[in-house]
Amino acid sequence: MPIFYGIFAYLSFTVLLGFLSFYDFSLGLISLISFCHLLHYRLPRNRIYLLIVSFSFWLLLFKLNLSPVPISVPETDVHETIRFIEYPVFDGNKMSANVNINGRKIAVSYWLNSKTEKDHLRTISYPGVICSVNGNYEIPSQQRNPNAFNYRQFLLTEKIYYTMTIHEMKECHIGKRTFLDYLLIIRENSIAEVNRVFPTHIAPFINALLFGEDRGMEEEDQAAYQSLGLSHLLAISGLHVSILSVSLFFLLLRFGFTKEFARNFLLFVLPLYAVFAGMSPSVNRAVFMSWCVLFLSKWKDTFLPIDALGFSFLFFILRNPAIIYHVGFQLSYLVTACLLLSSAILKKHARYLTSSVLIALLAQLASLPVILFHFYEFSLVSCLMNIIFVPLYSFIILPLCIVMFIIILIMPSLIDFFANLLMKIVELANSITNWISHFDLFTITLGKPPVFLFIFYFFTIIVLFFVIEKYWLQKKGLLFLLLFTPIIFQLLFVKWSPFGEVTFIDVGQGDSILIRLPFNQGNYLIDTGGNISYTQEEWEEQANPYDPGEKIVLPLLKSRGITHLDKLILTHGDMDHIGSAKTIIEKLPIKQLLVGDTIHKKAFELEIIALANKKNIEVIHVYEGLKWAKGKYDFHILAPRLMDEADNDASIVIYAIVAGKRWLFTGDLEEAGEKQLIEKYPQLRVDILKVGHHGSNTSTTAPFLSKIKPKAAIISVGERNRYGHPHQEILDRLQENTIDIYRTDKNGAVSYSFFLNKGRFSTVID
Amino acid sequence: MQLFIKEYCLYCDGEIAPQIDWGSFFLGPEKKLLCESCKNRFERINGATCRICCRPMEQIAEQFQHDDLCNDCLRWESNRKWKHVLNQNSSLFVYNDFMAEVIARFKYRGDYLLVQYIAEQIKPLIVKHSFDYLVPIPLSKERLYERGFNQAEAIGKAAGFHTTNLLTRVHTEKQSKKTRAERMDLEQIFRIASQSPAIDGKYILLIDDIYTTGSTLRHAAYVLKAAGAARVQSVTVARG
Repeated sequence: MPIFYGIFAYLSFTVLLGFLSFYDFSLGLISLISFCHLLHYRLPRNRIYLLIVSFSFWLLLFKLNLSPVPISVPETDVHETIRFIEYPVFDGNKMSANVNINGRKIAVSYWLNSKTEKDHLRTISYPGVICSVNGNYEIPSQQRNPNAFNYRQFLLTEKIYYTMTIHEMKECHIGKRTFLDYLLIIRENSIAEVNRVFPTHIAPFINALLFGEDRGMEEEDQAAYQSLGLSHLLAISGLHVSILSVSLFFLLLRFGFTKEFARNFLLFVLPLYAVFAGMSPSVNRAVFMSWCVLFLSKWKDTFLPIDALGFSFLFFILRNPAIIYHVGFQLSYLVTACLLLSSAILKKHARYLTSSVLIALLAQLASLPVILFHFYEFSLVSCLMNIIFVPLYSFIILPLCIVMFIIILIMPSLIDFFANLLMKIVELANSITNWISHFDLFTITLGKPPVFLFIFYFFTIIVLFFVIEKYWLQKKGLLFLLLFTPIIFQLLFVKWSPFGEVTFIDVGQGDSILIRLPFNQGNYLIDTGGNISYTQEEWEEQANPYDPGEKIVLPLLKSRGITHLDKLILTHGDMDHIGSAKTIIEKLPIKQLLVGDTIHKKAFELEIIALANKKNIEVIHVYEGLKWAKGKYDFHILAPRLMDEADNDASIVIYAIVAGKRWLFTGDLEEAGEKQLIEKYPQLRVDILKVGHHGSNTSTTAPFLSKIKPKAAIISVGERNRYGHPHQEILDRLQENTIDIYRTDKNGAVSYSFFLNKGRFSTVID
Repeated sequence: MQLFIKEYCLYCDGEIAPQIDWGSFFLGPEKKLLCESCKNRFERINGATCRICCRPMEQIAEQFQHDDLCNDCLRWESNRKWKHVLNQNSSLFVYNDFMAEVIARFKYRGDYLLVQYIAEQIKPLIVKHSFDYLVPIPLSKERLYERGFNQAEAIGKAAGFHTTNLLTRVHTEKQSKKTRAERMDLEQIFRIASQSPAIDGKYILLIDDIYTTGSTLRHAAYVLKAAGAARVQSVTVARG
């Protein structure tokens, strides 16, 4: 029975609706009903039924596959045989790889013991190597902060359910290698060859373009490309694959092969290319889609490109439903689908603007909501940059890379000329991106749109495309309205949200508290968290050591649309409070830096003050008695006393009235400080207490508690920290006083969000 | 192997290339009657036209243009009998060779399905007018018997409108065999149909397949005006 054109596109759309319903059932159902309602005028009834059946199927599939099922607590201290399926990544003293254990894919990591061991392990051609190891299985860490990176979800997109930390690597031997293993070895050797021939700042670009390998790329370059919306150029995309296939096809014809042969040859070569290109979702998608189109072209009734796209989409979703969480997967399908649907617009109007300009504009528009959802900001110049860079990469840099690589293989002596040319071009491109990405002006940080707004964005974008298709630019007013309404909504609901919050961010062991007043009246950050670093030998140092400011605090602020801090308050000089302060100061405009007016500050705190002075941030040394107010929100500084000796007891203590509640933020205040506080302020009563010093038994004394009588207490403390915080006696003491306890080690981030004087606590982990 | 359902062009019988765009994806596919290349052979009337007969000004030599009127209409309007009889005509397509073929196929060879496409196109034009009755130019009994259907009525009905047969026709020779002068001075060829509803003070919209000299439409309008119609306009598929 013949089927109708667009069937795979429609089925794919029901996947999206099913996923939306899995997330938010009512919103998904409303979208399905409106979609079917729109279609029922023109589509026969049985097709509408087909859509509904397909929707239910996908909803069920997502429910069964993506619901957080309680994973059985994995075994510890096991002996396993692991089989490497790829090359591991070596970063400082850490080696990590995805391996195969009894047919399951597991992400393993191993802390290297010595430089000799590292040097030895780096020489192995891993694919197909089998090692016996001892280690612990672990459940990948879940999301602990609002809008933070979700490692568990990320691994799910690669079909990985467990991680393993290896304690001991015992003997390794080469097992029976598959064809795929050999391909991966050739790929790795080619990458190594490129790295050998080219200087370190150019080689990663060539490797990215030829092999989809982004290891070794400078963080700065990567950030610049990403912030300008160009990172898709450094990944192997559909455009990429089509350029390669088309040129190969015509090359074969030129050499006198038949079309039939050229087609079959491409069908054979494309999958191999996917392996060489690193098999990332975008590569797989691009290759599989081209493969589908090519394969089906044998029959006279060719697939529409959008059906081929839908077919490959359904294939990948069926293979692993969690792939839908993958940003690259989302963007590549979204943009391709939108451009295919816009073929009528492009065909009709490409003469007004050149088609590459129009394509860049449409792609930009279509990807905006997804970009905002994942990166919270977009670049105004992104479109312009794409117009320039897409042709540059597609028609100059990529072909040059291919030519180069062939030359390396056959005539290494000719390399210099091309290498210099390529280097000049790539260097120029990079200096342009780096230069432009430094203009903050072009980057608009709007924050993360909530789900309803995310859907609203798509709704307006679909209507927008529809209007453009039908009327081109005649209805300017309507186009503006469609474009700006969701952005205005986002400004009102996210950036200038009427809701305020006090969030105790889970930065591991340490403190970081965000106070955000409604309508963007004030953003205050008390402490930044920070990692305690140890002196390491050079081989042990990781390229990007973990920094909670960079990985947790900044993304959280960005996701709220916060682009500056009114006050950064550093309670005292311990690393777990101010370790990430430099990162925050470097990356975010700050109006005032508040530090205690204490003497004998530690060197690190002085460095931060110096940095702030350099950046022209007003540094205020505060002491008891100072206060500030913003609207009906009052903040009083109760400690330290002027010229106190810098230590825990000289932490800045803030008493605040926020949302009609009395808050006390105590830093690392200990017994002596608490005693002073209640002597000085005998009338002090609070509703919510940030428990001093991470719940250590040196703080939160019984007299202090019974005096200030809090109703809720928050303990900011790291999971499984080395100090044993919080101490049991403190927990007992809080419980005896019938105080609600929130702990960042158990609850993840703890947030009090409020509207006027009404508010409630919520936690990331229940 | 036929994997997908195909659609074929009503005119050339070629396969219609499927296309999925924003409109057809979210609102469902429109039934495609003609292929793109056939569609493109229809030449829409755009730009400046004669205020009354809708003839494209670009077809008229400079010396025959009189402000917004063509020479023809000026002559009709300067005749006392015909002044203000037909208030305005609107036409959709230029009567080019292709249009002639289409009309011939539809009108004389009875390719009734083609009317669907024409009706679809003319519908917005009809909607633009305000009228009490949509009146097809009638055929004589003999001609109707020969042809089997009235093409003007068929177009109006296919476009989804109710048509009212206010007129009947006295059988004469085919129009296309007559000269302009003969047509202008024709004795009355239309009559108000017996049992027609009240015409006095009504707005009438005439519908026909083609406007050539405007004599047919004017004769029809004359009878209607004489019966008291307040305004008579016309729409035609082609402007000859």
